[in-house]
Amino acid sequence: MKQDNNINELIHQPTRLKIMALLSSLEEEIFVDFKFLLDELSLTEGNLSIHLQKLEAAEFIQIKKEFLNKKPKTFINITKNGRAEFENYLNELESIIKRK
Amino acid sequence: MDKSNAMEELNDLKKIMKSTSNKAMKSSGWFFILWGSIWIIGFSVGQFFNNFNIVWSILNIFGIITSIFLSKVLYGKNNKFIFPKILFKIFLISVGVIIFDIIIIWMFNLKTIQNITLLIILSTALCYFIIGVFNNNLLIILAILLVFFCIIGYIFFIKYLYLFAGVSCGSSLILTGVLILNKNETR
Repeated sequence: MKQDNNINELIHQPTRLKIMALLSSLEEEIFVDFKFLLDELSLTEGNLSIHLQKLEAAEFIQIKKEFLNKKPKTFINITKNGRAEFENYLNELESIIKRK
Repeated sequence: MDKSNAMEELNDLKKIMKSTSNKAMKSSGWFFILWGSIWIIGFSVGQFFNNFNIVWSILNIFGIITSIFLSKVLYGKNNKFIFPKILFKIFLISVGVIIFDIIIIWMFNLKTIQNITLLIILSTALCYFIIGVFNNNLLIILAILLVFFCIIGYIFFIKYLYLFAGVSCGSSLILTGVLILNKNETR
């Protein structure tokens, strides 16, 4: 899903862009707690879940659910696809900046 | 999207990335403080007592057990960031350094404990330098400091090498740990 300037529209959405930036700054195998994303992005659980589902459907992130002390916990990390797509996005921004 | 929007967006994204990366790396500061303390105690004791090997064996076992405990507490599933393979990675790096050191000791016929001490510090510095290139500039500075102190210790303080190395290199590790823990989060 690309729009003008070869920018990926799915990532271009401000909240999803922040999620991708946050996840891409971590090494491949590092997972982030759902609550950390909630605090960092100041979103509601529902809102964050919807954005995560969209990114997961595009295979840009993976979501892992586990039980810890009988309570469900959700962990998220970025996939290789997601990282590559986000890097393309950053490159595209840089090429827009360099254009005369 | 025009140029100024792109620039603003890129800056915002870089801030988010830097801040998150700092937060994820923050707790690694405790490992530097732990091992810095072990270096200070181990080398200082080695300077004044003859039972160097026993002291180091006890300290290393204590360090390894505490590191495993710390990694469970800091990177376990109760935390914001989960590092599933962190212990395995640390183990691999440690084994790599030990094999590297054993080969050098054998090939170059290093016999004195001074030489072996310098080798251990220098190979540790090399590790920090390589990790620092990919991760954190602070580790590059730490590596340079360790090498600098090795050279100074070798030239000027060979008689008190353990004490000098322990205090200078151990303090550098602790300082790096404190700086990592207090690293400014841009957001």
